[in-house]
Amino acid sequence: MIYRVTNIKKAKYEKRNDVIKSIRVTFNNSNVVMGVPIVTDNMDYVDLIKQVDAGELTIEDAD
Amino acid sequence: MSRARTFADLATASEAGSLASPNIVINGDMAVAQRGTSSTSTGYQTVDRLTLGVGQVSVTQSQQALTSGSPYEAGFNNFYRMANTSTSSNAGSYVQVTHSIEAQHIANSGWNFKSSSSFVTVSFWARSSLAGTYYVRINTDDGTTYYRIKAFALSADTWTKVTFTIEGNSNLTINDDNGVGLQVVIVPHYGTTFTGTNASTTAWFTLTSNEYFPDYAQNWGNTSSATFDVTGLQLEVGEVATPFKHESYGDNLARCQRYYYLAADGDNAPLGSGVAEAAAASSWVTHFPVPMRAAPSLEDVEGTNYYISWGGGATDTFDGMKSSDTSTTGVYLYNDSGLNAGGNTAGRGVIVSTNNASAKVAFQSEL
Repeated sequence: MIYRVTNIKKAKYEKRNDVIKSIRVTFNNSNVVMGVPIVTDNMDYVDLIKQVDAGELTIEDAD
Repeated sequence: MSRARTFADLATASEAGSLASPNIVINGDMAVAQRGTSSTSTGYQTVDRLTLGVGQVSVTQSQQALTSGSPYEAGFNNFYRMANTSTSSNAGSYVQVTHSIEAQHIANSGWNFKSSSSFVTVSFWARSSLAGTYYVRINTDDGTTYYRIKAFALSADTWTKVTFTIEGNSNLTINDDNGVGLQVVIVPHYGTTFTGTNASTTAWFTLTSNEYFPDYAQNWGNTSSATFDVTGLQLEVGEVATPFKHESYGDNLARCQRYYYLAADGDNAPLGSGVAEAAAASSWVTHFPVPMRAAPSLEDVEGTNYYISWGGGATDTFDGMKSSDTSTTGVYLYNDSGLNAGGNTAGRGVIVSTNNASAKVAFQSEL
C-alpha cells in the first residue's frame, strides 16, 4: 500500500487540558513536524490510521 | 484547428452554457506554488493542488517559467515539470501527477454524471522530451472506482493541446461532500505491471488486474533526463474545451488556500496573539484566510529558538508548537516546556512570531 505520510520517526497522541487533541508526527532526516487533528476528513489522519491498522505504525500514548 | 471550427465549437459551448462554466480545476495555470518551486520528493511539494506519484524511478518536480511557445501565447506564464533523475526498466515503475477535485465541486457543477448524454471536458497543454503516446485518466473515488482514459500523442519537445470529453455513466457515484470526487491523472509512464488489454479506451471501466492503461510504447521512466511538462489544466461542464478561464493570482491563491495555507515563512512573520498561561505555556490563535476543506494538519519547521513570544516586557523563545481544537477556520496553537518555552509571565497577553529565517508554519487539508 502506498501511504501519503511517510518516513515517520515517531507518532504520538497529544493532550491539551487532559483531552487528546492531535497526533504529533516527527520525521526521519527532517525538522518538519506535523500536528494532525483527530478528524476523519483529514486525509493525514485517515492515512495514519490505515498504517496503524496495517500494523506498520504505532501511535504512542499521550503523556 | 481552423477558426471556423473554433467558432463552431464556441457556438456549441455557448448554447450548452459551458462558456460560462468555471474551471473546476484549481491552479490550472500552475501559477501558485506556496510550498516551493522545486523538490526531489513525491507528493504535494511544489505547484499547489498537484501531487506527484512515483515508483522505482526518481523524479524532480518543479514549477517552471514559461517564456515562449503556444501555451505562452495563450496567456500562460508557468508550467509544471517532471524530470527523470534516476531511470528504471522495472515493470513496476510509474510516474504520474494527480489533481484531486472535491466531490461537492463536481456534484454541484451542473454535470449530470449519471447521464451518458451529459459531459465534462478536460483540457491541458502537454510537452515531453520523449515522443510517444501518453495517457490521461479520470477516475471517481466514491463507491466503486470507475476509470475513463484517453491516449494522446506528443512529438518530442513540442507543446500539444490535449482535450478529453467524458460522458456520464449511471454507475458513477460522486457524493455531495468534501472528499475526493474526481481525480485527473496525467501519466508520463506506467510499467507493464499497471498496463494491459483490460483497460478500455472508449468507455468507463473498473480495474482488472491493475491494468489502468494499454501498454506504453515508449519508456519515459527508463529515459535519462526525460522531462514532461503540463500547464493550462481545465475541467469544465460541457462537451467542448473552451478557452482557459484565466483568473487573478489573488483569486487563484485564495482557491488554493482551501487546501494549503502558508501562514509564515522566514524570520519575523506574525503567527497570532494569545496569552501566557504559565512561564512555559503560551497559547495563541491563528485564523485561516478562507475556510479550509477540513480541519487541517499543522506543519511547522522546528529548531532551536525558531519562534518567539513577547508581551508585558517578557520575551520567550521556543522551538516549535502544537495544535489543538483545529477547525476549518482557525486553530489554537501552544507551546510547552518540551518545546523549550519558559520565559513568559503567567497572565500576560503575548504576540507570537517566527524568529529564524528557516522557520515555517503551514496548514494543509489536501485531498
